[in-house]
Amino acid sequence: MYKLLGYWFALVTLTVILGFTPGAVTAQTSNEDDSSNGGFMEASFAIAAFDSRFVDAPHHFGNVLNLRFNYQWNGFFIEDKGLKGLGLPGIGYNFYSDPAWSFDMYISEVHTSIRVDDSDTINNEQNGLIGINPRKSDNRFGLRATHYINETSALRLLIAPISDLEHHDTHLALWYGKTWQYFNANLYTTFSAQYDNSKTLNYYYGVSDSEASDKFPVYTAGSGITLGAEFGISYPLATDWVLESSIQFTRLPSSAHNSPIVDPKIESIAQISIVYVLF
Amino acid sequence: MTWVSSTFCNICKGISLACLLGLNHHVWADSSLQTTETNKLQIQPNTCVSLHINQACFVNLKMSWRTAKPNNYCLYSSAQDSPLKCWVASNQGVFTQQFSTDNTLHFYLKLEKSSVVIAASALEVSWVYKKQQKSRLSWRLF
Repeated sequence: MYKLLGYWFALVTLTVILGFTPGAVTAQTSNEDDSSNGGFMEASFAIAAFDSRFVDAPHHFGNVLNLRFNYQWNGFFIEDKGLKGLGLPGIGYNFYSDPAWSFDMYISEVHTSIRVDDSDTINNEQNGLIGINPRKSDNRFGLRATHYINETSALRLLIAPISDLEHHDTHLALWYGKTWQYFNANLYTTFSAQYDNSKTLNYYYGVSDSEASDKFPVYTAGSGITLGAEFGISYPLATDWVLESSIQFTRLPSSAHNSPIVDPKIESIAQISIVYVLF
Repeated sequence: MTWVSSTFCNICKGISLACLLGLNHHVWADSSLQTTETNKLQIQPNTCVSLHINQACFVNLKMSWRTAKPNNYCLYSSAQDSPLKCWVASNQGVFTQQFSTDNTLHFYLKLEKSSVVIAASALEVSWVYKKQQKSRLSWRLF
């Protein structure tokens, strides 16, 4: 993580020295307020049903409390997406922004840890993995580009070649999202595709000789693309309160699904939550 | 110095009062039919909440009115010139309609074929997310 922060800090310093600051290149429309400092924070209390990707994981149904926030200051930003995100908050620096495009240098967790004491898991989803060696989370440094197609839809690309693990392959991710209004409810849908090469997928889903057993035979995972889809609805209850619900599916690549540590090919989570908007 | 500021304040108050009365002279023109406790126009709900700023807010409004004297009355909104509904020889009425608006809507009860406002009420619009930010769009999506 410190190595990634070093890369990020060096590049941000260089960018600022070269005068490539968001203030210099921001060209927002008059009614948007993206260039200003500030942010937003929400607390969410959710009832969630979760079907984990891991073998012998119990079907979880319970509550999840989380905090979601985004804060920007002179191009620097920190964000935590709650249930949508993983582990540590993402941090970054926005070095270009116009009405159609936004570019960030970004550090974020792209794969959660496995069998680590502080793994970012829901309930006991990894209890079926006893005997498997721990895998650290994959924190990545990369370039994130967002294209605002119009006021209700956007496309996002993440190219993250630098990892704090022993991998030097590239993590590629593409998202498309759209929102629309139906009376006072706001609906959204997102689709995603994330590519990881064999080094990354084998690190998480391969089974080495040292951990092999009857339950977990030796397995080597190849590269693959993880597909995701999410559909959600938000309904304002009052000026500070929002009722939300969403369902999210993650389809694992065959190389991960065929692993002895994985059971369902599609991981899913459905939730209904009440959100308090702090600011 | 105190006298100067006090005089200035009184002048400001006077101007404000004059402006208020001037702008609303049509409301108060007929003292016998002016908005009073007995002439009431109530709307339920009186606030509409939408998620994002500038989004239209949809609401099913129930408007009920009551006056001291039966007459021919019409209900108007600030969104249109024509009346929403008129009543003949009535001193009370109820009207329900769905509205969508992105700013405050005013409702007036007037005498038919008159500009005299007998009673008034307003629907306020507010938003959960009051800043329009692209980052919020992408943050909520991804």
